[in-house]
Amino acid sequence: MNNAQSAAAFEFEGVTKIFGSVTANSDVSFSVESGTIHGVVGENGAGKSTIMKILYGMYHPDGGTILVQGKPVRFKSSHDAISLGIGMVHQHFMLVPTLTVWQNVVLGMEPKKWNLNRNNSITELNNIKCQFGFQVDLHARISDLTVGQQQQVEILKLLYRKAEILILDEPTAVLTPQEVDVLLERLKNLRDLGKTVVFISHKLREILSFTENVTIMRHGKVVETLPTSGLTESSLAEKMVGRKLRALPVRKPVDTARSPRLSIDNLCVEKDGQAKLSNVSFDVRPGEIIGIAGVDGNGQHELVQVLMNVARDYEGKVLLDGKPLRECRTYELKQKGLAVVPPDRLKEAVVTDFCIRENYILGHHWEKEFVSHGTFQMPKIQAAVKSALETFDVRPREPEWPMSGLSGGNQQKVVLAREFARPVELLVAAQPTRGVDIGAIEFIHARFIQKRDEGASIVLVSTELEEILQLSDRILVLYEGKIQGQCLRKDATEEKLGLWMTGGQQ
Amino acid sequence: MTAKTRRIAETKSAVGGCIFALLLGTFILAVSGENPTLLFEALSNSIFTGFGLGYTLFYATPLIFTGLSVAVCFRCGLFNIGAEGQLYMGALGILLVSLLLPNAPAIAAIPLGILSAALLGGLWGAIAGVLKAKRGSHEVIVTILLNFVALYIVNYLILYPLDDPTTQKPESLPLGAGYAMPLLSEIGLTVFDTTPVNTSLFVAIATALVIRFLLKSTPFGFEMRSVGYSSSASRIAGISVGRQTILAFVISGILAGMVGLNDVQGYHHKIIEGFSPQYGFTGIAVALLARNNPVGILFAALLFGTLHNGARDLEFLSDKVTKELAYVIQAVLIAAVAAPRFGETLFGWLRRGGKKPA
Repeated sequence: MNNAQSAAAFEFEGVTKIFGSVTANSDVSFSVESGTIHGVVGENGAGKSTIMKILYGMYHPDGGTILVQGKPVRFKSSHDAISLGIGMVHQHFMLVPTLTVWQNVVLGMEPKKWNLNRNNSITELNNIKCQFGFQVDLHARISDLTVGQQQQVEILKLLYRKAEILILDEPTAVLTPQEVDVLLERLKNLRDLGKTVVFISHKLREILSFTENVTIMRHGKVVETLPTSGLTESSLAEKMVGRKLRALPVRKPVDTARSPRLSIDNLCVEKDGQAKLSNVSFDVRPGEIIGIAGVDGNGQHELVQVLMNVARDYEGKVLLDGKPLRECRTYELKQKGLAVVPPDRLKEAVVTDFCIRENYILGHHWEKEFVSHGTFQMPKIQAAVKSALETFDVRPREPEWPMSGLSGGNQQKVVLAREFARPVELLVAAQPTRGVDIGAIEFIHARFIQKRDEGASIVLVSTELEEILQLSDRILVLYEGKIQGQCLRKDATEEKLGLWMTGGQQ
Repeated sequence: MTAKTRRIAETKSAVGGCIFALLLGTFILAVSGENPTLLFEALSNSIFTGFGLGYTLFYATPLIFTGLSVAVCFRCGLFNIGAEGQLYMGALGILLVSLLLPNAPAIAAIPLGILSAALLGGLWGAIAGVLKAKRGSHEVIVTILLNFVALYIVNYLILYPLDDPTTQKPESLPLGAGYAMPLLSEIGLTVFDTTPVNTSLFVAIATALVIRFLLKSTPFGFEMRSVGYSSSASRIAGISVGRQTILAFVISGILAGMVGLNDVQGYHHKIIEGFSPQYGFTGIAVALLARNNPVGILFAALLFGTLHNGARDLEFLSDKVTKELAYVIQAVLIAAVAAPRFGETLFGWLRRGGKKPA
């Protein structure tokens, strides 16, 4: 396959894709060299995923040409793309959780016989595993694997289908820092063995650290394709956003004399006989951001569930303004100024089948400003939604637009617009910028600081150390359900937090 | 895709399904050696003659109620297969209140009948709701089983303690005279003379509009739809998922129970054993075809009423078409109409000018 050095593995020439009234890609042209790792960066909604789905045969272009190994191609479906050696790992994995690893890999490629030739495919898979250095048990059930391992299975699937070009859509968004390192090593290995890797991301550090070339996209168009060497994080970010990034505003100092608004005392949560949280105690004052750091799965989920007032089965005290949280109805808490940004946006924060307007009132749908005589006041709701979309710069600014049709960043902005529409006393935010692009992250962070300065108490749970270090006034690290360490932000270093996150002591 | 374009696409697919159903129906007639145009004759009789339309509307009325019953649960993410049982319990409610107060004048008796039908239907629905919300029992299994329980409770009551001793037929004591819903022919619509269509049709239409308002314009309906789409997001938004589950089943039970207005209060004036030709199950198809839209259900019920009546008519018009074959054709029509993909395929094919997809 890889006969000519630096030959193009594939090439886009003026590719355009239109969805209804939205132009997702317009006149996209760039080429990717064989045997390289090629980054594609851009904000959410910039058209990165769309152009790659066109290459993978999932969408048909409305104009332009695609060349694979120098020959123009037209794909009817992704089957055609697969047969030309193109494979894609999607943001959301396409695995059957109840089947085993090898069953998932073989699924859709079963030999056309009455019985699956199980041993042959297993031998072949073992060869692939050895060749590319994968470590995953072929007979393990998918539901028993970690997210990182599931991703390995997705890549194995591509290799089993003899893919030469591997497209990965935001592969690191769901991984822990350690898993990211493993993945990046593995991709470098694949490149060294002659595969071409296309890596879609908006995490600039990853792009800079291991891609050869990078294509920057904005508003459906290609801004530039250039070699990665010589680029810096800030130069790349500016090209991507199209302007200089603003620094976070200077904040007021925390008023340590004020009594805490939220106080947690010896909180213990048990699930199926396992301690998920043990003796967690901390206070949050008004105008203070407490950052909860830690590797995913160390009790953050349970803590957030308690603070969102969804889990009420726990020991210890959780007091909001001196009143036990679980004795309050969630609805009343929301009226009093509880705002939540749940970690799983699609499952917990929004109803994807609702339109923007309906999502904007969700949780506040009994509020007097929206309802009179038991009936929704549509004109008032419409006006409120329109002005919120304006303030939070949500695109499109169309209250009736289905939530599922928004990019992740815009969905998160709708969530914030809803939660910040009223005075905020306590904000519980978990992974508020997961899967969100730089422009939106900047926006969300600025809003958090603004609310803090207005006197909100904020509990920020995040696995992104950078985010924790940027926003928090005080940092706690959760490890195996306990607070492993805590410090003020000015005393925190990545090394110190990293040590606590892995269970080390000072 | 916005809500509007989606609605257009859904309407197209429903219309396409109807066309496909008619083609299939004529094909079956042709195969059975009958003149295929007879199907069109039977169907047009069911709509364009006063007599036929009267019967069509009479069959459509209960389907509006059961269609709404299924749709309300669907909107809350629940599958109510129990409308058949709930409608029998509603009918029982009417009978019981009439036996209790046999001499109530019409002005009191008709609302009493409606309320007791709603009460018993709603209580029967509540069983499934409570079991789902409190014990996690699957509503499909519970409602299927409750159908049998309801049917046989009603059968036992009308065949033994409440049996009409003056006749050999399997039917209950008659209702008090005041409980009869007036026939449309009695309120001046002479075009419907000798047909059983009655004023419960208006109740059904009004109910559909009320349900539409409830789902669309009230916070209560909003919560119900929210739970239907995402119970996890609803819970975090402070909505009680269990309460909505129970209420959805209560409302569904009330709606199904109101079938008795048409068949018991409106026509037979007593409960006849097995009076429902599976209205509860056809209601599932009605709700599916209408995509759970209350106003759409009015039209879907009219369509299914036409099919039901047309199939019966076919049997009279032809000596080759037996009752069984008529039901086969009806079932095929329902299946084709309810399968949305036929419509999409058909319109796609027409748009491309009869060519295969590219």
